[in-house]
Amino acid sequence: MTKHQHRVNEVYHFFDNKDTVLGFRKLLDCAMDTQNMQIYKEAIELTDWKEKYPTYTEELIEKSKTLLQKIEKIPVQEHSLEKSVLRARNILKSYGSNRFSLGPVSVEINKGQVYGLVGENGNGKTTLLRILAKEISFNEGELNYSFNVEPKDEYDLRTKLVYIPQRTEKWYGSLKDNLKFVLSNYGVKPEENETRTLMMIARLGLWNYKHLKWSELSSGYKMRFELARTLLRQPEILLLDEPLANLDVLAQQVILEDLKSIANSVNNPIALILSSQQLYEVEKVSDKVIFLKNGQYKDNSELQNAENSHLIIEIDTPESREKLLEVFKDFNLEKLNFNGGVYVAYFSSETEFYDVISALGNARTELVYIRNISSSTRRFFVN
Amino acid sequence: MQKLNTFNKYLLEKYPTIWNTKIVWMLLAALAAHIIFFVIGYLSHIDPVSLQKYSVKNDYYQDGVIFIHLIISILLLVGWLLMMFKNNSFKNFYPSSKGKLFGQFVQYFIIIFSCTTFYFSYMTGFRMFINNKYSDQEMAKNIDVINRATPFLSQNIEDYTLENRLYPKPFYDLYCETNVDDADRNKKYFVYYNRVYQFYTIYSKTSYKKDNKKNFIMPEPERSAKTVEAYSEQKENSKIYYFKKDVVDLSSYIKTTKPSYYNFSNIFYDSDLSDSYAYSYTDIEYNKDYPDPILKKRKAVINEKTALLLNKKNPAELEKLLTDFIAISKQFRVKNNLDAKIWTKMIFSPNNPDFEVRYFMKDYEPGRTNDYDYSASDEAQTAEVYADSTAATVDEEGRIVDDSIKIRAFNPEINKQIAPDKYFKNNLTDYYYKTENMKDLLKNVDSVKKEDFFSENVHIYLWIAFFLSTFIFSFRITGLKSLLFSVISAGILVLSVVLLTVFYSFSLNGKEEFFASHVTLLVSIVILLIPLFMMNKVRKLVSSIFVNISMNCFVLFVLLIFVIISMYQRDACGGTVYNSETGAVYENCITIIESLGFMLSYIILILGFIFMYFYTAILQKWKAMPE
Repeated sequence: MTKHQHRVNEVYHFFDNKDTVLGFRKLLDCAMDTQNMQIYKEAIELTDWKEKYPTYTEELIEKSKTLLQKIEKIPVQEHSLEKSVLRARNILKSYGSNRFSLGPVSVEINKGQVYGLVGENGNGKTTLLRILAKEISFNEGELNYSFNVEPKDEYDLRTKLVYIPQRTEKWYGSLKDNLKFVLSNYGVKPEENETRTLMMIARLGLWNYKHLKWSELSSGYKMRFELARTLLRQPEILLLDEPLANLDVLAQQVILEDLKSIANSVNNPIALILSSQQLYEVEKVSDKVIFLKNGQYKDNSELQNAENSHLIIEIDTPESREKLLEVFKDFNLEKLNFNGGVYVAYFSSETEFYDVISALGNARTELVYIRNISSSTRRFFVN
Repeated sequence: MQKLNTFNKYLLEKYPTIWNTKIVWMLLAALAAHIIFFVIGYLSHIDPVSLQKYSVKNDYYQDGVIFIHLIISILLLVGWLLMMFKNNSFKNFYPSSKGKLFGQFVQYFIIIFSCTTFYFSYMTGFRMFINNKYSDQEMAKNIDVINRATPFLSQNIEDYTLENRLYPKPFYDLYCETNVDDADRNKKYFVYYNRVYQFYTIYSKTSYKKDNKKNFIMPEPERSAKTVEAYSEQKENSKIYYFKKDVVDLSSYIKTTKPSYYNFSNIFYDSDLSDSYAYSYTDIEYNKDYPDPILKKRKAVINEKTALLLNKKNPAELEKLLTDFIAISKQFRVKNNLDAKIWTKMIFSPNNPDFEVRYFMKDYEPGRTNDYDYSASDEAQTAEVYADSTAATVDEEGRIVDDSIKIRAFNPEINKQIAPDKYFKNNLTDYYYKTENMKDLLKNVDSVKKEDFFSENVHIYLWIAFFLSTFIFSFRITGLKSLLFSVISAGILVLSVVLLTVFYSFSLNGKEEFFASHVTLLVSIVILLIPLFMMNKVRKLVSSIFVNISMNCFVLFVLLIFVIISMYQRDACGGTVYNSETGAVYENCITIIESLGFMLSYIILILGFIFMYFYTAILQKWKAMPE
């Protein structure tokens, strides 16, 4: 079964489970992969109908399945994911002898992969992203790219490295015109321009907002439009600086899902690097997470090696330290830190998490929050 | 409205750059403005009185239309920039090619040029109006009537004296000596008060030799004999001298030596000749000592027509001519208070068989405060005194000789006669005709029809458009901060060069212009070369300054090269020529700038565009540079 068919089957499952919201998004993903204008037009029509009649779920599922059958039949060219598209080795950037310096950092990323970049503020996340986007220069190290089509010159290379900063600039004029302008600059055929634009608008859930002005959008939707503009450029590398910053909790999850799904597109996969403070959400979608502290690099693959493999648990509880120590007395507790808000307990590596939870439950401990952060970069924050 | 949107959408999808620059809409708006200015130009001079001034060509600037032009241009350009700056594909790193960027620049140039050149539409409308209302055919007829009628507008007594006569033929061929020192009292001469007239045949001799001051040498034996030349004609490689030969007695033709209509030979206006005399304050000037053969011929024709008309002794014909003339003057709204009948009577009178000029007219409107009444002024009265009194002169031998004594030898009756100016004053009527106004109108009509106001003025607008284009283009490519820094840096550079030149001038080596130009040349070359070869070694902001200055000032650099070449040329040719006739000193070197003339402007403009085309590669390289 090809990857495309695999995805189509997934969508069928979603609809069978009446998970229409997620299913519809995945449906649009599959539709986009076909690169077929007829399918696009039908998908756009379906989106329009859906926004007009949001409550007709049954009919929506019907129509979606019909469309899905058509999508299934279309062959989709798969893109090879073996070669790395960005390779940075020992990048070092220094702002002066007594000032902040970043690195050495090494990053290698393939298409279809998502890299997360986390760290406290002021630790070099934006700097690293800008270096990888070739916006600022670095002092030492190597930075290589390899694309489908080798860029003709430096400017051509920059057109393929798409970077969205934290604060984006205002858009003037109609939102749709701005998006169509992107496509026509990239040489898209005039007859396909409108269709592709609408498809992207539909895919990112902007259908009800496309007639508005920039100043009328909330910051979450501004970010989505910016993302739409970016994705229309069909980048091979995408660098996002704090894309989740202005989004509500639900929107953050949705966007991350969308990003992962789009990055994994069958015929147009993207190498995605994004920085964020939303640690757990990022860890969920990322293939790898880089943690920057004082410009120094650590990634969560290091967490797998033997030295570091404690069981580390973060606990938020109103109970006292003594109570907890009492609960853990039978376990190999190495450390129990309290940083004013939560407890972080370090157990030896043989300890199992489920055992700890049982112990706490049996002791009728009042728990607000508990999390196993052994393989999360969270531990670098609480160290 | 719907159609506009569809068209706009078509542009957006197919030609994003054209959609972005909004060139289609701007050209339409500019066209509308051009049409408005064309109409304004057409209607601007409906009233013939508006043509009765020195030069109407500049009315656009003087009458204030230029302000409307400025306001409309500024509004158009500001509106355009607001629309265009909404999207910037280069800034966002959308794919671009050399041609695309250069195409943007060319579009800016076209838009700005079309939004600032309303002057030409105005003048085209003006010209069309003039061609319609004052058509060539009609004007030829009118000018003919005017030229034949103005001999009878006796406004200046000097036009009617004997030396002006060119008809019949002997007067044309002979030379009239009026200088009392050079007249021969023993041969036939004519007098009028203190004027003497003696007619000579002349012979010519050509000289090909030049002295060391590059002036022609008078041929022998006249040179040694110090013969006074009547007049001379200078050609390219030779000079023809004319000398007086023998006196001729023309008594059979001359009925009276007093001012007479038979003597008048001025051309009031001539379309062909007006080109070369267009800017002279005075009339089409004929100087018997430097005669222009074409002019002389035409003057003789006027003289002949006048004489023939008078000889017919038919007052009705004259009255018809004068009526026509007054009608034309009314059509052109030239102020006068003439009446054809009375006017004819002033000329045709039974007790004036020789057609002496007995009545004079004014050329200003009496009683109006802004017309200066010369004859009544103090200046005129003192002038009269000087004219009457004797003027002591020094002759060639250095003896002080009294002019009045000399003339008395020719005209013993002088004291019994009336001086010309007194005669004029005594016979001045209240009739007036504003001759200057008519002349101005005729000159203006011809100048608007024929003059090429395009070739000279277009250069200003071309360069305004070019520099504005480069400025806006720099802003789009590098951004506001870079542009501001570039302006400041350019200012500092200019100041530095000026200061250096001042310090250099203290060294008293001279030739500061060479020093300044060479220093500027050196600085320019450095600024041009750094982005080409060393872009990676300097910070992005610094290289953006170099790039901006290069783009905006390349054409000045080319101009500087031409200037330096000219300076060397002038230096190498090193010579001035003294023209003894005119007494002027002039240089005989042709520098490259002078020989190219306005073509230089076009050449530099084309070079500027070529430069911008190739420079777009550097711009892309700059943009791609990390900071």
